[in-house]
Amino acid sequence: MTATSQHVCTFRLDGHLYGFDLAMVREVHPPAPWVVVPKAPPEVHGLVNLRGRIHLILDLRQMLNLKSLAPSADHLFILFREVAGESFGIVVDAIGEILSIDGKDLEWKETERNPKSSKLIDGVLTHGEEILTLLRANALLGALSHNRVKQGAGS
Amino acid sequence: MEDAALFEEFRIEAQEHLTRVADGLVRLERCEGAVLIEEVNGLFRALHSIKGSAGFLGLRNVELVAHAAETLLDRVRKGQQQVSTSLIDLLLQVNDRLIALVEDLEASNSADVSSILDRLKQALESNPSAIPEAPKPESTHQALPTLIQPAGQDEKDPGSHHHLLLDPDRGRTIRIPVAVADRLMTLASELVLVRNQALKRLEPRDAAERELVQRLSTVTSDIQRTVTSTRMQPVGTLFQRFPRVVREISRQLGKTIDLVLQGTEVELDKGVIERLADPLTHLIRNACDHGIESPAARLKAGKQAMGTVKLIALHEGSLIHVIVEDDGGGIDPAKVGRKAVERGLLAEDERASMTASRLQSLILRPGFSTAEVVTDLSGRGVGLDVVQSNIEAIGGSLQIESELGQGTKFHLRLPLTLAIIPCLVVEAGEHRLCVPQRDIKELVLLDGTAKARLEMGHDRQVFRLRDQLIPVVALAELLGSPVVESDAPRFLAVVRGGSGCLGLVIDAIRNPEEIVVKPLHAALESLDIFAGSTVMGDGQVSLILDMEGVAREAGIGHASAAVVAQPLAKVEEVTLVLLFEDGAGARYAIPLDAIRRVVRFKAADVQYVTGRAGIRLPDGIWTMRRLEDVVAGVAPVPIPDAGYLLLPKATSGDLLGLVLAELIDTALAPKVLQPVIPAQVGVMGVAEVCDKLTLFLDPAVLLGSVEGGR
Repeated sequence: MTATSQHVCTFRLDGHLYGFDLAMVREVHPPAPWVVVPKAPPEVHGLVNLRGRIHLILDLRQMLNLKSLAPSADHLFILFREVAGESFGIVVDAIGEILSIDGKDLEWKETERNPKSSKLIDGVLTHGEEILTLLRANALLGALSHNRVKQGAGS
Repeated sequence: MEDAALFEEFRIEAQEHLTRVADGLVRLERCEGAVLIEEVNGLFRALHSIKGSAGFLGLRNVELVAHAAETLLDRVRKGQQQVSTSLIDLLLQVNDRLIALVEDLEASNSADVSSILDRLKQALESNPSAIPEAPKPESTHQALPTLIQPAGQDEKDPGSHHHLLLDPDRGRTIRIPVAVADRLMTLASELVLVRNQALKRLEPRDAAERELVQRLSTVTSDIQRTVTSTRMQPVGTLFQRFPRVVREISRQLGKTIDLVLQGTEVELDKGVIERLADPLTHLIRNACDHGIESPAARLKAGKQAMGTVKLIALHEGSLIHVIVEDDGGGIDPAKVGRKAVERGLLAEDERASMTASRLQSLILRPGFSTAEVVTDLSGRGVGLDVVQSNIEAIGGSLQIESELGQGTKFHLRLPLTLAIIPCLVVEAGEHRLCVPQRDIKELVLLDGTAKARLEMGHDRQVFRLRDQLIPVVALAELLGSPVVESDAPRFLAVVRGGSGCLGLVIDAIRNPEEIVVKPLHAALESLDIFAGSTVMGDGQVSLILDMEGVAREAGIGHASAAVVAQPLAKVEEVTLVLLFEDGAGARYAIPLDAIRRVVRFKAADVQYVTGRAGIRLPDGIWTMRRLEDVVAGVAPVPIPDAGYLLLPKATSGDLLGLVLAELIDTALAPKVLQPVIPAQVGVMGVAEVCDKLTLFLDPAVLLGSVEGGR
């Protein structure tokens, strides 16, 4: 559901412009050393300790099927409010401006070919020359694949 | 909304009162005179306060029941009613009913309280002098004048029912959600972390700055300590339920038992206290049922008819000791031994070699119950083994000390807190992980030598730990790290997991660390190889391994557990040996049945004749021989200033004793030994005993037959 007017926190990932409803975003955090979680779904970037609370950081590239580049050197974490799920965030390449958009601007997406990422996409709109994809923060944790991927050869 | 908050306040308040009432009622039986009146007054006030508040909130049923009980107590106070067992029973039931009503306040008004009210009414009518008046709102006021206490007593104003929310007790405690306390704890740990990192960076330029840094540091530590203490609760909150438990049991069993509580002020983590409740209840019941004898048997044994069960809590270092002690009949090791053999828990020859205390501790084995008669109290199939595993699950241990005819002591050692557990930090591949110390049985250095290498058993790596075959899991591979061939020595952590033992290959051992366990993020809950996560001293997150999960992940389940169990199930050929050291760290064993006795000597006792050392003992002069005299290839060690002389059972005429520098212990050791290569005169073989490589001496050396073997 999209309100007639909302604020959107935009960010960049692999050169694309994305945005989350600002009401879902708690803060943008500078990078912190993270710990890889073995056996976790590939969308899990790792765990970080931010002010004594352990946060799960997701790799949105994996979730959106983007080219899986390593995060940029000056990457940032976007952390979400509790309404979106328990202490978690995502890695982004760069943070953009806060936009105020009108519900009318939304050009609703075509059915995505990838059912996994389509659940995450709220809508698409144009912002100047660019395409801004609005994402649903509260759908992120639910989109984690729980079929564990076995890595490496075991013998 | 406001009503709900008021109800909640009342519920908490009433629960506290009712706990005190239950406690006081049990005490009532034992006191008389002024003390009795004092106790009754306390109970009266508690019920009165509940009644007042309940009336104020329109909780009619709670008010009615509390009022009737209060009336009954009032008559006790005025000497119109005798304190009898049946009266206390009734009041305890009233208390139970009130607890149930308070538990669900919303439904309390529609609950049926007629039966309990009828019984209260009967009790009141049994004495025809007075019939309780119906609880009118005014009645509470009428009761007031008699309640006023002399000044200086630590009691509430009995009129406080109008000021429920201004209860003076509330000034001394506040209630906060556990989540807030946990968050505070987290923040305090984080503050310590930041402090530590800051201290490394900051270089105070002068005394003033140094003092500032110092103060910051002290205050930070104080905050952490204080915040940690918010999770602590006195064990008294748990102990106070037991007088009633004991009272009920002793009546059912026809015994008189006094429960003595000590150290109720000792504080423990709330989590530990909660998980201690069941095991402790079991131990107390056990002490009353199996420990304390019947009054007749006690009198016959020259004891008081009344048995005593002591429940003691002590704080010592980082541990809390909880002791359940009875002065009953004690545990008969012979009887336990027989039972164990009957149940197939023990082999007959094994029994013979066991000490009394080891036999006694057999009652902790699964499938053991010595109760001759299965009573309704204990012996319901839940054995002491469950108690033991419950205690171990919270990182504690359970020990039994018992003297036949004198009593039994169950000794619990518990960690102060659940939230902090000692862990070993290990590395596997690129991962750093925590292994809880309580899961680790031992660590083996895999240096590729014959004794310490992995073997392939069918399709799985195994490790031969003494005579046990344990499945091995390469942790790095399990976690998906690329396999790196390396000659660097690795470690094998032998851990509990998958209904048996499990060997975990790790690349490096970092350091032991006390960690604060935090649950794993909810989205990762399906990863059962991890028990949780933690923030390490360097501020980074680390994952805590769950051994059961690791075993499952590695496919080590019951099938291979059977393989593990098989060599174990066969009763090992064991023999009792004396362990000693030569003074240079090497360990030796000699079968106990080859030894007559061991005597202690001092340098002054030793006499030298033509280069040989001797010692005069009542049965003659014994020649003292050193280890190097009887075993080939042993570095010479001079006769110590004080040591032990081993006197063999058999002698070949000459009295030849063996000097032992240091006695270690006696232990069970395998009969089948591994040969020493190259063969060494005087040594039968080698085996691992008590986790140390031990050379087994040939008892023949004691006879002197291999004299000059070097």
